[in-house]
Amino acid sequence: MSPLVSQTLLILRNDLRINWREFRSGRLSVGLIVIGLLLTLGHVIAFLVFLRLKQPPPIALEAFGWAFFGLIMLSAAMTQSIGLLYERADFDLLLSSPVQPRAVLAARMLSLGAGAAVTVAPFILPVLNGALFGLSLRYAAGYLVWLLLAALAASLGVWMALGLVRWIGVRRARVVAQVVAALFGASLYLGLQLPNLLPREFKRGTSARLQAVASSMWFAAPARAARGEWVPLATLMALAGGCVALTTRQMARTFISGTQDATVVAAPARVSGPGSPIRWTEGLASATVRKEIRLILRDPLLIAQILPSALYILPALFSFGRQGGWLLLAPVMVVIATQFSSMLTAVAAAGEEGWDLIRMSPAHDLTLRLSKMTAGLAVPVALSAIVGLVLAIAGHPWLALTAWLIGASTASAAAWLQVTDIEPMARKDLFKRRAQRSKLRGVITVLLMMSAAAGVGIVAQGSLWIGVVVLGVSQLGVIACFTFASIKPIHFEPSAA
Amino acid sequence: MRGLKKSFGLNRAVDGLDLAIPRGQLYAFLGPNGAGKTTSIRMIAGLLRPDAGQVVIQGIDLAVDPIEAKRPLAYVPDDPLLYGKLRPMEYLEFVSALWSLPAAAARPRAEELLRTLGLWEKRDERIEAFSRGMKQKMALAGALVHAPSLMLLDEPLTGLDASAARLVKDLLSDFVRQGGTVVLTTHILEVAERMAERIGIIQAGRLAAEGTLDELRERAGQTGGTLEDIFLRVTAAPTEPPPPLP
Repeated sequence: MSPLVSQTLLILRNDLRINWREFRSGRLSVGLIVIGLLLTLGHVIAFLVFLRLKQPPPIALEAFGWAFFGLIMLSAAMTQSIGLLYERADFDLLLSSPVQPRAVLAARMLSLGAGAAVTVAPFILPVLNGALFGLSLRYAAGYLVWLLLAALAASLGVWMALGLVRWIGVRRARVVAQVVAALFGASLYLGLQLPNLLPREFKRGTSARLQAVASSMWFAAPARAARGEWVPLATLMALAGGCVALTTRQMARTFISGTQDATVVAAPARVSGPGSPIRWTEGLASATVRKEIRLILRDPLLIAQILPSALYILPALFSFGRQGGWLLLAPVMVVIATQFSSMLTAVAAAGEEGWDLIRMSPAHDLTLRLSKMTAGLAVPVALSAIVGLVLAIAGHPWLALTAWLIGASTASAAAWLQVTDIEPMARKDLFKRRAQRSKLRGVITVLLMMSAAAGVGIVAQGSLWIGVVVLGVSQLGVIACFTFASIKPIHFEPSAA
Repeated sequence: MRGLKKSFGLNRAVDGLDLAIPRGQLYAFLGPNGAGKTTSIRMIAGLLRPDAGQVVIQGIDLAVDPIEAKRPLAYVPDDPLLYGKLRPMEYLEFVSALWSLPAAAARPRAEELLRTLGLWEKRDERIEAFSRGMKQKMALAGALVHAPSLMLLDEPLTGLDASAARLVKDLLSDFVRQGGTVVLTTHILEVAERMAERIGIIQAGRLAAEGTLDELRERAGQTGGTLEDIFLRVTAAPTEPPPPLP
């Protein structure tokens, strides 16, 4: 075995072992149970569907499926690329050792590919297994296509990461990579929304063109390869292998210079102007609110992580407007207020960076929690008000006011859930870890948001009494949150020194 | 501190620590790595709950009235976590608010501290761009802004260059001269030798020796010896192993 291959495998084995231990550590075993349940449920559904199919689905549908999985893997690879290539603590060790830099890059790229493949595993495995046992054994090639697409995604992720780092530096690259990854992740959804955004006369033509693209030779190549067709399968293998080899060969030097810069370049000084006056506020509540809002607005990475959620709302907004359904902006107001308030309050509460300072101060716990909640609510509720203004100008001021009030109340309950049970965690990992660790709060928030949005939507459509009943139920849920979600002590992990 | 105990799993970090620190003195807490210095100091700061024992700060039991007990306190950890996205004055504004300091008093004090610590010219930059030494000075400004009477410092001179270290030492000396109390941990024995009125040497979670430098010399039988000699002698002496946990 060549030194390059053996060194690559050595580093890869170490990376995978660390990843696996991180995944299994602490309460993440809950994550394993959820994944197990998802896989079981997915398999039941997939087998029910595929065993009833008399013939394979249209190639265009399969092509869209593979495009979906491919884009999700690309998005995952892009999201993880900067962290894996530039922010690992072991570069000093690896790069000061006699290991070839190409081996380090290759191992990181394969690790990236493994991560991307695992991201879609709970969804792709049931489909592949269902197709294999329900339709034809030829679909076994789908497993290979899955891994090849993951390798391609990793390779593209590395090119993007190295390019961005060379162009704008590590810190900014991390932010840009998040946004680009989110755009790629949402691109298929946005593409499918395209016909809804266009005038009616273009809609039919666009749909037909999308179908034609989906059936085209290049777009459908992964789907054909997954059906066991040799030519597309061999082409895909050559493409993925070529990309990985080319990336390892061509990008090692860029990778090394990037990691060296990353370790020596400090954060750039951000100056607000010479001697700019800083208004000094009175009182703990206002100082905390101001501090939290400053930290949120000055954290481009955080904004980059939150804003992509808007990608899924904006096409709906355009679509409503085009169909003359401005009334449907009302439930959108509720969703904006609740969804973003929950996220930002989690950032302000669980993502607090100075817990030691706060815990050893004589500040009152409840005041601090309520201030963090206020900070988390401020921006989303203001955004919701702006959407409400559009609705009011469109001729529905009372509906706008109702939706804003309901949105603010639901958002308050969602934010309250975040500040009553705080588990400190690093801001950069917050959304990933929060989703894994606070499933119940997440489910309650979604239920509150959906019921409130549905109630407002029903009222907007003119069914006043049904809407009022649904809203009553949702607001009872809000009251229940404030009543039953009592303040728990913050879960600090004990630290020995 | 009376009978202070703290364990992490099976590891007994602090094992029945009894210590009284007089007001208006600089007290140096010494000990080998893992002896329990930081754990002790974090318990005094209210950041760790003791398994047993009592911490009384200026007559107030920390467990009975934590809010009032913490009011005169300031703590600077060895690796202070500041808010990188804030500017120095914004950080000090928040710290002042935590200690309910009126803005009229806090603002001029914050300005004065930034000038004294040589950070005034950097007041419009975000803390994330600061060097390690500047961050340490920023943490010290945060500790001093609410005019504490007891300062707990964990390795305050780590990462500071000679001039910054001198500045910090002068600040601490001034603070003590004005009636403040300082408890610091350090591995730089010369600092403890030159600055501390009293010195406690902790080993395996227990106080192995305590007193003024002369008292320690006398007890160690090292008249004229340096603190390093005493420290090595005390910490080399075999200690009774802590009893097993129930």
